[in-house]
Amino acid sequence: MNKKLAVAIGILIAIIVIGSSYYAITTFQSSSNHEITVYVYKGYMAEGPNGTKELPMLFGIFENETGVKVKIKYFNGARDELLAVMSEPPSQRPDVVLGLDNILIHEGAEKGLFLKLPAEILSKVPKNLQEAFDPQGYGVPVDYGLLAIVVDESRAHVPSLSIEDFVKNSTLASMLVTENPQYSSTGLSFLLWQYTYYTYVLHQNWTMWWKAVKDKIKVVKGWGEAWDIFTTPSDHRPIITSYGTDPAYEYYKHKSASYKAFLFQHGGKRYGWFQIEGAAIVNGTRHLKYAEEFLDFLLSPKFQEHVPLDNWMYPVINVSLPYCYHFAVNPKGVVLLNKYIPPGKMSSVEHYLLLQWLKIFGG
Amino acid sequence: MLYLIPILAFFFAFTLLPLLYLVFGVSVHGLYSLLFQYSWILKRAISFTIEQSLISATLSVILGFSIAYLSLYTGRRFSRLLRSASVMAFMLPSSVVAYSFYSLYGSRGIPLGYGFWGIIAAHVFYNAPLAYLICSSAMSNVSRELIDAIRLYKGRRSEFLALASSFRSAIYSSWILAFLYCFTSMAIPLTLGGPRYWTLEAYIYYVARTLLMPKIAAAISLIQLAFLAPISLLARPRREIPPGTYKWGTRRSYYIPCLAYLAYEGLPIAYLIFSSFYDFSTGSFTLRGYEAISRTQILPALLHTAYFTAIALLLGIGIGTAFVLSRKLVPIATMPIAISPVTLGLGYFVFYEGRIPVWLLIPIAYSILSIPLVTRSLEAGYLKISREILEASKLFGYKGWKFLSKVLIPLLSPSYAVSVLFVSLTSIGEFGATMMLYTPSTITLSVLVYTLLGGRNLLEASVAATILVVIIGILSWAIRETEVM
Repeated sequence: MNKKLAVAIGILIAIIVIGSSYYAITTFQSSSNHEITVYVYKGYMAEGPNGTKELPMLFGIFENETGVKVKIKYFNGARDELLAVMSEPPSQRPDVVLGLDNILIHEGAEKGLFLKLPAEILSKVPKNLQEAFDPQGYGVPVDYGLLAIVVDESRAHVPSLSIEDFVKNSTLASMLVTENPQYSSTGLSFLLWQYTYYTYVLHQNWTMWWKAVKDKIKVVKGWGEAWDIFTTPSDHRPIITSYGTDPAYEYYKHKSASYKAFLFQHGGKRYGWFQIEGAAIVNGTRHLKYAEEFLDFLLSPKFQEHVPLDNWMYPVINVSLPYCYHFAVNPKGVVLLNKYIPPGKMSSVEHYLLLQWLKIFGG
Repeated sequence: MLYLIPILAFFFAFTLLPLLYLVFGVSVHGLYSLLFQYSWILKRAISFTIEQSLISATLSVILGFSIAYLSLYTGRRFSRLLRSASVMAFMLPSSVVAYSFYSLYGSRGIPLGYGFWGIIAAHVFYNAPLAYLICSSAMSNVSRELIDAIRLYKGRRSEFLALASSFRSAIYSSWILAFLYCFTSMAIPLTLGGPRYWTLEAYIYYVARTLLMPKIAAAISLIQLAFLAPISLLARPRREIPPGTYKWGTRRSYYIPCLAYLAYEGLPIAYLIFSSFYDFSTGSFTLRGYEAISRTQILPALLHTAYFTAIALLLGIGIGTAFVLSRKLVPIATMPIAISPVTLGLGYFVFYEGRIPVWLLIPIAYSILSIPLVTRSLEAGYLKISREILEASKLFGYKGWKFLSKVLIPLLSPSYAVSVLFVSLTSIGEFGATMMLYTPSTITLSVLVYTLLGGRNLLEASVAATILVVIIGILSWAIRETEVM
């Protein structure tokens, strides 16, 4: 056999053997008794000045206080965290899953992946938040925010805005960039928000809106791509479906008050959709006590006071908000539309909406 | 022959059984729903799949044949460069190609990197090299008589068309293969197209994994199979032209389109490698992406890929050897050729999910997908061994393991080397079946590239894709060394 070829195959086999050994070691290793494993998605609490170092630093406070080590495993998204827990054998599952939204928490609970949390933990957050996140108590909210339609007023002067305006004014529709609900959790939340608003508030067919605007709006895969387009003036898309805290972020970062966030408005009321992120304890954990202490820590001021500037969401307990939050959408007085989709129906509604959306946009 | 019982049982358990389950267990109801409730999915997916496959295959063959013709008039070294670039491009994982087109063209708003024409452009990137390799291989040993006859009766100006007519069977074979590849394309339409531009494969994946409607997905895969089976039958062997050793001259002007072809094939990959060293947010070169390999998902994904490849190698080569030794069973081993990776993955997903762990299902799928190639390669080597040697070894009492280790494996070592390369290539770049089966804890490099792009982790995606390009580069070089292409 050719000598070079033999060397190439030798290298290949060496890589394969090393890979297999690593896989075997990492798959079957067990954690120590004073350690909990936490699954979280990349980018969670990473929007502040310390970036991705912030989360391990915050968990360090917990480690110093309790002597329990926190092992963090990062995933590309919250859905990936849940998929990992679903697919792993019970002995390899983590103790806590952090960053799941109000849709994913139900999917996990339905599959029996999470333990019901004790009342002492659940009582630490406002009842309406807990109801909107998980009334059954398998997960507890850690942060929350309102979805919003955000306008860069320096490029599009819009004194007031509701979702119906995009149908009435096609110029407005051609300024909007939104996320594909098939890939993006922001896009899916916007779809649920729009669906509940049209169905339960306006009592109209929700698909009419998408059919009317589909050739004008720009749909991109994820929030990051949408944000890039929104912030690039040459793309001429100064309106985005995003979060109510974006104006606060813009003020904090650039001392500019040009971003304005709108909710859906009808009959003098504001209608919103909460995107809530929370934590759950995994069924089968061998460190239940530590996992509960960890959740306590997440709901304590030591963690919560970092939520506004590190995650750009609202904290779930009463801590003081930075000045820039004057520019964010105030959740007080907002009628939440999350209540129209009970936890047990979430997944069937989601699939129905995605199929209908696909039907409208695929054509 | 007793050893064949577990081998056959394994082969049927992971090839026929999941498919039969799809056909009889799930798809009767699924087919009904698909035809009456979701017929719009079917209409749209079929029309787009056929439309893009026709355009992509035709453009690929026009480009591939043209370059094969023009390269006849270039120097030997340049032809070798064209050949190397084509082998490399054809072997790249589809997720890497899709990502490179997105990052070079799509992110700048150039239609070559997104939407309908983005899909066509990426398919041409893949399949033009295939057409080039088939056509240039057919034309490489053309006889002087044929060329003289063409020039006498048609004149120099019509040489191109006359050659195209003479090598129509090579063109036909490349077109059918390109059509089949485009028809079953998944990573490219998923990455570059929106829901308006999804193939049947992309729909099967989306309906099964995101909408959690495996019955409908199974019905779509059945419909796809109904299209694929007759098209696969059309892929008949090429009619050979009498060989010869015609010496072509050199025409300088022909280098220009060939260089343009090289640029088309090379630019996206060069840009991909460049972007793994360049931070676009700061506008400076960086090694940040590579420094972070151990802290990101890249290292686990690389090691998962290696582990899955190792298991697939053991299974694929072991089963391939058993089939070759049995001789009569070789045709059975080619059966997986007709099954698309996504369909195989779907079969495992609905039949084995929860019964067999994913970290075993993925390498099993890789081994099943590579068995036809392994068996063909080993069979070709086996047929070259003199019957006298085999009979003599029996006379001297070489049986069972002793026969394998002392006679067969040493004699077949070049075929085994080729098989190792084929299984490795299939496993490292596999996308469709992996997408159906993977979990975040079993992610592979080719799937990681796709998910990182979705999460806008572009530097990491570039690093992961570059690692794949380097691995595939080494493998394609090794394959050229064995002269199997």
